[in-house]
Amino acid sequence: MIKLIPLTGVYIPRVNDKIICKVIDVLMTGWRMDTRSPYSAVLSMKDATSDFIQRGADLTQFFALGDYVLTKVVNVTSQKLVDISMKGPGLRKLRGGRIIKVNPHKVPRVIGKEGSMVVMIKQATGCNVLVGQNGLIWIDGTPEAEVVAEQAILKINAEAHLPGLTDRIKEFLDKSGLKPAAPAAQKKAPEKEIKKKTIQGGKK
Amino acid sequence: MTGKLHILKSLKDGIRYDGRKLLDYRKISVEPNATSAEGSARVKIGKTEVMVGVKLAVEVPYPDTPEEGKLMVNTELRPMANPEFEMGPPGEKAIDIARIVDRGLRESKAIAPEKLCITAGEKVWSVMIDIVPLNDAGNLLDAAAIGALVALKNTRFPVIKEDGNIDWEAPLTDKKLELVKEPIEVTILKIGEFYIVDPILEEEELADTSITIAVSKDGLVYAMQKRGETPLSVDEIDKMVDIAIKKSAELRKLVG
Amino acid sequence: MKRTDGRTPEQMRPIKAEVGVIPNADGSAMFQAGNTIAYAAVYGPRELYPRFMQDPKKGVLRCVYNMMPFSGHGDRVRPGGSRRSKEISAVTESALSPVLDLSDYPNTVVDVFIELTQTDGGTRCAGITAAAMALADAGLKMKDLVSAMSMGMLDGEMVADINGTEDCVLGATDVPIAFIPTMDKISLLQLDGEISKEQLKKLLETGKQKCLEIYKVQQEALKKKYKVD
Repeated sequence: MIKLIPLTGVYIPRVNDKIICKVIDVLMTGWRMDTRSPYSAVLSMKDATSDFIQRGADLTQFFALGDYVLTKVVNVTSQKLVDISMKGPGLRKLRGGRIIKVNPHKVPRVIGKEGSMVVMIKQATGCNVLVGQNGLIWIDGTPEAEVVAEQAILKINAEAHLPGLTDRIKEFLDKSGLKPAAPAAQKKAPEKEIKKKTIQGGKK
Repeated sequence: MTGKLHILKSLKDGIRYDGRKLLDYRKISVEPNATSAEGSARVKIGKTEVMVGVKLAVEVPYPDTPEEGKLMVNTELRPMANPEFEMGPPGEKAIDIARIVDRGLRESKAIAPEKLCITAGEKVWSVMIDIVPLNDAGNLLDAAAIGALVALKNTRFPVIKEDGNIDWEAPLTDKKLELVKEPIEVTILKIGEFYIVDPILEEEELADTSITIAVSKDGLVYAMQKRGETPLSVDEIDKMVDIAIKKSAELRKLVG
Repeated sequence: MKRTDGRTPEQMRPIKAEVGVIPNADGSAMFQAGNTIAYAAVYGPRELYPRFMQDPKKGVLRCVYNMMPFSGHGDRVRPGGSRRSKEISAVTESALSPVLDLSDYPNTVVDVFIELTQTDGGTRCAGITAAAMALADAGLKMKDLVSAMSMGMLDGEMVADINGTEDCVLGATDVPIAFIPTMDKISLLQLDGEISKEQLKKLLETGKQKCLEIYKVQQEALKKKYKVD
């Protein structure tokens, strides 16, 4: 019986974990997020951005209900109250793409030794892939490539305990008939106004 | 899955989130007589699994139809199948499924109500169909409709004792419930300008509108139900009916 | 004594178990004994509402037992809870909680939904047996599984795994029990009927042995899904 425990189970937030959260409530001074665990997290305004946010500003301009964000866990109390932060390299709102779920215990296998597995998937599909420690994974690429990346990751999730996983995933990716698209889109800055500014200020 | 824009991009390329083509169904399996009830079926579409049971009872007919039996369809959306389902009396979604399955059977007169008469004015058979999903991975509607049809096709009458009550200890008779018509229901969703069938949960959430259409063997339409706030043009409805007729022919082969 | 289904008094019905049958659930299982079939789905640990029900020291176990309308041996079962199903839900919770350690999950709930698709006696026991596997499938810390079965007395003789006809028509004394093997303790015990002290003791000892047979099948079903080395 004891042997079964490590193979599955719910995610419990840990300090320093990078996780993908979903905005479920907009508060007076921050946002409440679903961490895909029994404990929701709070992102306060001061941890969301270095920019100055005016008092009474509309917080949904930054993160609205249903938005997915890549964040870091900065504090977990004994009663499992969780604080998260967006301040850090690569932490940002995730635009476009799709979110898929895997068993949190399988995350190390999805990432692979020194990232080898996720890099293999990214190269074969041309997709941008971000893996949250909570088992939420963001994939962004062409529609066909996203389907292949998703299926590869779900395959890892289902077969991680069987031997020869890396070879089987490689074979699956090779058989998928994808020609990797152009290199994945550049990293977008964490703030929301970029898109609007480009449209307004762009030259014809 | 992030948003309408993302799925429209995918549909434009002719593929859906799980790699299917727009008008492809997932793998369907149909198991008649899945339980020991008078009639039953287990239907799986992809990871969606629905059980349908038919129970019979002997009842007094309605006063305005003394020679007709009764038909009732009920759906139980239990939290086991989807954490969004709450316990309690049937909500909007459950009632929607029950009523559209009911309409398809009733309007097509699939069961001849006079055939359910035992003694005019005194005793008739009451056919009670209960639809209970075990796992909701989208498209409960089509699974429920197929299940109801298959369960009815395999329904056998129990023995009636001398006192007019059912003898539950005796095995069911060989007398089957005769179906005069066999309506097949197809639900078509519209997302942006694209039509899809057999939605997964994410697609159900993003759909602008949907229509469920019950079709006969000869391509006649028995019942329709539109859902969602986006209105449709006549041409669009026509297209969706075409899809329903074509797809119902494919589904009919599975029902046997 | 020949029983209605041809079994000898101490013979159990054929049993079958499968794990991971409901993909949406965090853990799930099916258990079948003869014509009784129970499904169990576990969701959790997850946030618990209403707030006042939360326990700051540990997670809370919540069980709901339900018979599907077409599952009955006779008339259709009217949907909605009954006093009987509420009672069964409560004793199911008591039967399962001794093996669960939810101290890592304060303020949460672990919901267990038990649904019977077919009933022919021993339904609460089938539900508990399925639920134990589903909880393990969900990755919850467990001290052991729980294995359950209805023992009984029929015409003065002890019988194992009573069926619906024996229970409802022939008026057998029904004794549902749930057993935790590594603790050698019984976590569910009810009795409807008439029995002497000596008969009861013998019945419980035999019942434990029968539950061990169910325990083996539960372990096999779990191993099959996870292929633990």
